[in-house]
Amino acid sequence: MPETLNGHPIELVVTLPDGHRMDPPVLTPLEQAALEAADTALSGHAEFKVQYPGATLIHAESNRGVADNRHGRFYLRYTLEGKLPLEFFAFLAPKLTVDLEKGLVGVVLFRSPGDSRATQV
Amino acid sequence: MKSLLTVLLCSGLAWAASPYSEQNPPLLPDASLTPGDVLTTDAKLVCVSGYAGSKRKVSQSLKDAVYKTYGILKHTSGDWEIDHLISLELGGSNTQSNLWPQSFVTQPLNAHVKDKLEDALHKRVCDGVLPLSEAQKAIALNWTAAYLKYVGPLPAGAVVLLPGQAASSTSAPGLAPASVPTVPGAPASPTSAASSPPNPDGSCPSAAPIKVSKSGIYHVPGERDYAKTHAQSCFASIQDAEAAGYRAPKR
Repeated sequence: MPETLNGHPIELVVTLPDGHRMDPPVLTPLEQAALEAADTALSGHAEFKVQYPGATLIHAESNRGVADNRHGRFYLRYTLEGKLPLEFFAFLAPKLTVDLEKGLVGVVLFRSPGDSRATQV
Repeated sequence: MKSLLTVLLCSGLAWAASPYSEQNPPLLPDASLTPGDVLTTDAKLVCVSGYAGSKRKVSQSLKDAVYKTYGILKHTSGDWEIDHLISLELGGSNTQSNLWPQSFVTQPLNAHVKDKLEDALHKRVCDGVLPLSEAQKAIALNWTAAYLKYVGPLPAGAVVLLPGQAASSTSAPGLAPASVPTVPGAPASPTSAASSPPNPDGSCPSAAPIKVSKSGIYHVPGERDYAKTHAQSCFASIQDAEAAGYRAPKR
């Protein structure tokens, strides 16, 4: 069964702290929420839509050897018709940040009391 | 707490088991950690002037994670880089699967030598004489073998390396085996034609007492690290060792 993120079928990779890939890859609720929030932030970003019309999420990664709030914690890849795929690094941040030039997306998550699943603000 | 301890113990054991360190850098990537990963196999997309320079930068935190998975917990600034196994100019991606720590200072094989291969492969691909996918497979499978095939003899008489003991797999997922030549029985570290073989216990014969370590550093008798250095090759003089591309330890 293919992995999906925000309804997009994707190739998913989870890299463990020792550098090996988890097989099969399974995201934690926080990782799932962070990647979905990053995709939502990009897809809804006005400049992203203008610069990259038709960009489609095809690949996502979670790097567990990188701290949640550091660049490089998450990775997203989008295809573009006839062009090179786009790469973005995502991380948890105190406020939503999208830097198209550097390929960085900072997303805000919190845990509501009694809820183990992270939720986007 | 229990799960945290388990994670810490497992992680520690994995890193402790790494055969690499600052003194013993990997000359080839471990295929189980760095199989290689590509963004595209379309040559038209990578044969554009300024292509590699337009690509994303790998963050320092991701670089640190890659060093750690190779057991390199500290390293001298400027002596290392986090290399893209399949280079950006050959369509490689910025994912962790495509990154490994490579030394600039090991002799004769180092990051500068691999850079020369990357440029040669890119030229062949963009001249239309080599399919991009073939170039990607060759460099991912064994860059020293690809160098021999596409550039020429390795520098200073070095031989094609075989994957180290740490590599649990020699094939790259998603990449078919490439038809690059390897040298059966070749040693796992570079040697020079001008050197003498060490004794079985790692010492050097009296006629060639200069010891060269795995990291390409030579040690002379009387030096602090001389006795504990397990020689990979031996030379009669410092001049011979330096002529073969090895260097003195930094003090």
